[in-house]
Amino acid sequence: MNYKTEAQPWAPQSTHNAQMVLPTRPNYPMFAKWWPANWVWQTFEVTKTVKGVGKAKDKEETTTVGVFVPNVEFETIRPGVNGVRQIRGEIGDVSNRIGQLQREGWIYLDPKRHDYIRAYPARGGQYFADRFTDIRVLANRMIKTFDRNDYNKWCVTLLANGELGHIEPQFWQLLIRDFEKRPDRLIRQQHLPEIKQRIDDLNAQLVAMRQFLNDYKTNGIELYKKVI
Amino acid sequence: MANITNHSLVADLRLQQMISQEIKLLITDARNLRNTPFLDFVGSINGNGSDTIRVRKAGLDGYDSFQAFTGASGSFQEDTAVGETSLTDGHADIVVKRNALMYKITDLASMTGIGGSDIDPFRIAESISKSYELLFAELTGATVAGFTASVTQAGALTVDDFILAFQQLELASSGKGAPGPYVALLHPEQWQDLQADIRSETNNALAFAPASYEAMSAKGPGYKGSYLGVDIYTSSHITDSAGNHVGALWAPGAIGFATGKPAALVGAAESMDMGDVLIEMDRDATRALTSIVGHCYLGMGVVDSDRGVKLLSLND
Repeated sequence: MNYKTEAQPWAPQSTHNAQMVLPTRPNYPMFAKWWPANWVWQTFEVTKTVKGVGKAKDKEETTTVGVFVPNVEFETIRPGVNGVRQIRGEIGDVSNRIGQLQREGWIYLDPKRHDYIRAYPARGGQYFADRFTDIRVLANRMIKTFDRNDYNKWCVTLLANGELGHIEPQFWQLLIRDFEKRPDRLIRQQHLPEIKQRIDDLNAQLVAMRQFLNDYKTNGIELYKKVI
Repeated sequence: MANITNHSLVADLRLQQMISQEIKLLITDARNLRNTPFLDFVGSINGNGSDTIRVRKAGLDGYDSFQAFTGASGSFQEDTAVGETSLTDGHADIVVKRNALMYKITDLASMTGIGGSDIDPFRIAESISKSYELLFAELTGATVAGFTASVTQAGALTVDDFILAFQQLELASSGKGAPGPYVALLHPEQWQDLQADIRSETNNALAFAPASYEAMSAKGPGYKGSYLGVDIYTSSHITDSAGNHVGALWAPGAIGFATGKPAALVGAAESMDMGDVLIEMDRDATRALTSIVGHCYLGMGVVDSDRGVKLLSLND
């Protein structure tokens, strides 16, 4: 055995285990919920293969498709907040809160069924994050990156699988009506090229929203399957 | 002969470094809305028989209109008996929870302190009492995520989103509107985004009134100014949800908090009553160690969701 390579009592302690713990304080777990009026307009990159004519090779075409995505939220289960009772240390009994939310019309998404929570060791406890958040440690700092595309696809999949119940397009109509006010606010500055560009972008989104609303009336939930 | 330099004296006649008399404080964010009309104190659980206060709600004083006699096929006559109206009611539960913070300090660490303001059990006790303000800020940040209505922006917060949230409050409860004044509690990043968008705002009707020195003295360091008559505060304790900051706008009566406090600490050798926090000293003589333990009992929750709206925007 080469004793020179063995850790001696006076040698610095290995920091290996310390690195396994996130350099942050523990936080609280969460649950996912959705209020049927809460939607957000999101775009997806959809790639499809176009068959080549004759001897031409097949081509891949990417288009941007916009859809209304249910805005699923994560609510922290913190004892002492919004009716969550303390049962064991900082662990809260969320049953009261979930019952209240369901009475009010919220849709509760059970983490056991939908697998959206991840737990990491942190200083003195656990750090909870949703599964769409990638956590890395650089220079003893915690860097979090949220994968919005993955999250949006999860929300749309829940919708397409019927987990979120019936869709009410009236809420989209209301969102479109609110959105119509956005380009109007910029009209006075439309002589500036960058403002004109913003107005054009907003108007293009407005057209896409209206088109989606009309298409939904014809195609229903099938409309979402192309973005999953 | 060698010259007498500072370097040559270090170790015997000079110190390598001398600690400062003053202890500079690290940045904290304990600013909160405790003493504003935007958080309602709903009571103390002391002697109430439960750790929960149920806030009762009822539709009174103009909630129900007089019955219209417009029955089917005009069957209602001048002498038709009026039917009873059922009272609309509801409740919100505020659960009070134990919160604790403890430090331990040895006699040696305490006795080597310089002067009265150095780290000793009493300075630690004072610090614990101030952490109550931090707890208040944390609970407020977590509570606002419980509002039902939301305005979500998949990018940076804009004036449009702020106006939309403001309008949602004005249209709350089927157009009845939540009575003002309104307050906005935003994550500092949300505030930065909003500020950047306000800079490019050319409409004079939407002028922003920045916080003056007098306003900040009265409203606290988290106060940033007023926009559309909404007082804007920032807090780093605003929570995140799905890559978004969950800020909020609300009116008085939307959020309530409840407290509790032990009437006496039986068996405590030494305790200090510091407002809503009770500090207790515990002594381990065999280790020359003093524990300073602070306890407070606090709970917060949404009382009336119609009076608040979440404002979600991208967390970069």
